[in-house]
Amino acid sequence: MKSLDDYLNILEPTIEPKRSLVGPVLAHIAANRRRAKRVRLGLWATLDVVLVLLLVSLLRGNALVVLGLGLSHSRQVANDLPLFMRAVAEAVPVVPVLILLLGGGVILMLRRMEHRAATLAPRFVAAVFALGLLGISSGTYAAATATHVPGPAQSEFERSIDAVGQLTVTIDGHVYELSDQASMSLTDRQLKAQAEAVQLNNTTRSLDQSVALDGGNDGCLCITGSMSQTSVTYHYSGDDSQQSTFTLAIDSQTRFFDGAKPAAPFILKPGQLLVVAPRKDGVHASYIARTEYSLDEFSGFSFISGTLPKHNASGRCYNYEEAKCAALARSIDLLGFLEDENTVPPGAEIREVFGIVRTVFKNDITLQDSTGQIWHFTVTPNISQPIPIGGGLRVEFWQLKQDLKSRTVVDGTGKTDNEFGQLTKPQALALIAQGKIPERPNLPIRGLQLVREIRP
Amino acid sequence: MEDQDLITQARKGDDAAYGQLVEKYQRGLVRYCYTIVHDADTAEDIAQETFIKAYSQLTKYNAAFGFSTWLYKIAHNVALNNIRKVTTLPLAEDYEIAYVDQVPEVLEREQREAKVRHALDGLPVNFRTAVHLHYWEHKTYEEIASVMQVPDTTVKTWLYRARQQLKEECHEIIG
Repeated sequence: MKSLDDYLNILEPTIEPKRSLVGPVLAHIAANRRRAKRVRLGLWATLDVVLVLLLVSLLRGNALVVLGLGLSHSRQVANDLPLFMRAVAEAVPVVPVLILLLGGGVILMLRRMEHRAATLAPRFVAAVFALGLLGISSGTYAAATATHVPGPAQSEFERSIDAVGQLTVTIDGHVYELSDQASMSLTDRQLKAQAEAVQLNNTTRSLDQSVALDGGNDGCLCITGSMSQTSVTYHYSGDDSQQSTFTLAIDSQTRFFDGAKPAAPFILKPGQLLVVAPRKDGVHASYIARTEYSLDEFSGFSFISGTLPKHNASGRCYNYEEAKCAALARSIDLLGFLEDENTVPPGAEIREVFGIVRTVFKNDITLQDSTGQIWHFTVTPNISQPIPIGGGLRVEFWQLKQDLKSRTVVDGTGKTDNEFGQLTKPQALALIAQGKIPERPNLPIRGLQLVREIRP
Repeated sequence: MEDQDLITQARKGDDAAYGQLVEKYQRGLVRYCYTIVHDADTAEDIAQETFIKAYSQLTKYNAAFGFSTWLYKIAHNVALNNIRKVTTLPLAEDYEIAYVDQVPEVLEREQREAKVRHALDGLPVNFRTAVHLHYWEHKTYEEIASVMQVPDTTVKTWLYRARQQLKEECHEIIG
């Protein structure tokens, strides 16, 4: 008799499949795959639609407007980035963005499990992420740089942009209204600025003695720029007809403002250039810093820096008159330039000296230039403005070439340039009394310009 | 090509590789399903469904276990689900033996085997499945436990009881 295990070992079912399962299984798998793909596409399409609707509804308001403004007015954005960022932060609603961010995160997680990426969902998720990051970062930035007056930042930003269109520009967070000439494209404005700068130097011989930034109601267009970007040649011809070529390279450091319109404090730093160009009528042309001088050399001068402390309630200076906007960096032509009154003899050369006033006695002025050389001038007619010791003074005079060669034109004593060194007022007076410094040097004064900071 | 290579290819979407796996295991799987459901067509359907389900879960397959064990485990679940849907199991089809023109010795042997088969069919599904996997698929206790999703000791108990029950029913022909 067989054992149970013997029977079990031989009683294996002998059934054979009536058909191959390979074909049906693979067909079924392919069908499942197609069906799953359709479902997946439907799901993503639905998500896309939802995201699009959310995004459109989100951007339907101010966010799109602000972003558009930023894109189309990059200069204003660069000039006042905190204001723009604050406008963006205010315009982008945080809660919907956060909701979308969370939704986007979930979708991205789902997409990670998905090998196919043929739908638009990732792009919209990326857009939502970018929007969220923009809103959050702009809000953070704006909060960290909360230097603006309270109020809708978008309105402020739009106003600054509109102002540009209406002849205003934003500089360092402040809005300046420009003259008509500035209502041009950047390229045109550059050209115009250069043209005006040339015009400035051609008309800067205005006899207006007391006005530097006296724009009055007409005002003047002020341009500040980087000195390093400025190419200047300036010389006098022998017949006293000046020729100047002035090229102001308009760059990111260039600032425009209208002297007659509301403006804000500015600081003219050493090496920078400040030019006051005439307005359309060309009447009020003047300047406060001559570009032919190296401002670095005279960086200790008080006019190099200055602010406009007088402001109205909105923080803008409304008046450049000395009494109302004190401490304005400016210069004063003490005598103007006397080309009409002086006949420069043939062979004479007009020279100029720029120095610090060391002594003032009646009409005698002693100044020391940057090399330490002492210059003495007797000025007629009388000087109407007080000249402070230590202030900057620019003097133009003409002289003969032989005088230049002898190097005795300054003090007439034949001394070397630095012989007198630093002089105090009593020392200078003593020298004058000793005749070492002639009271009337044989040097016709052509112009005298006080360059200082007026603080009434 | 080894099973693991075929599985790797199938995971990458190579249907032909999976077709080779189906070809390789369909016969044993159909027989295993037949042991449970006692119907050839149903067994084939269950085997087909097992392969489809296995493909969809191919990423979950752990290479530490044999592919056939994993496949039988899926089939076991599918078959049990099928049994739950069908209230009565049909009789085994291939146990019908033609007795015509058989010599007496052969006839007697086949009668004894038929009796054992009949006794096997009368076993509970769990016992019968354990016997199939143990005697005809030569699975270890651990593998049987994995397929049937019970502890090893349970498998041993079921096999012991299955043998006891078969011995009781076939004691006159079993030595």
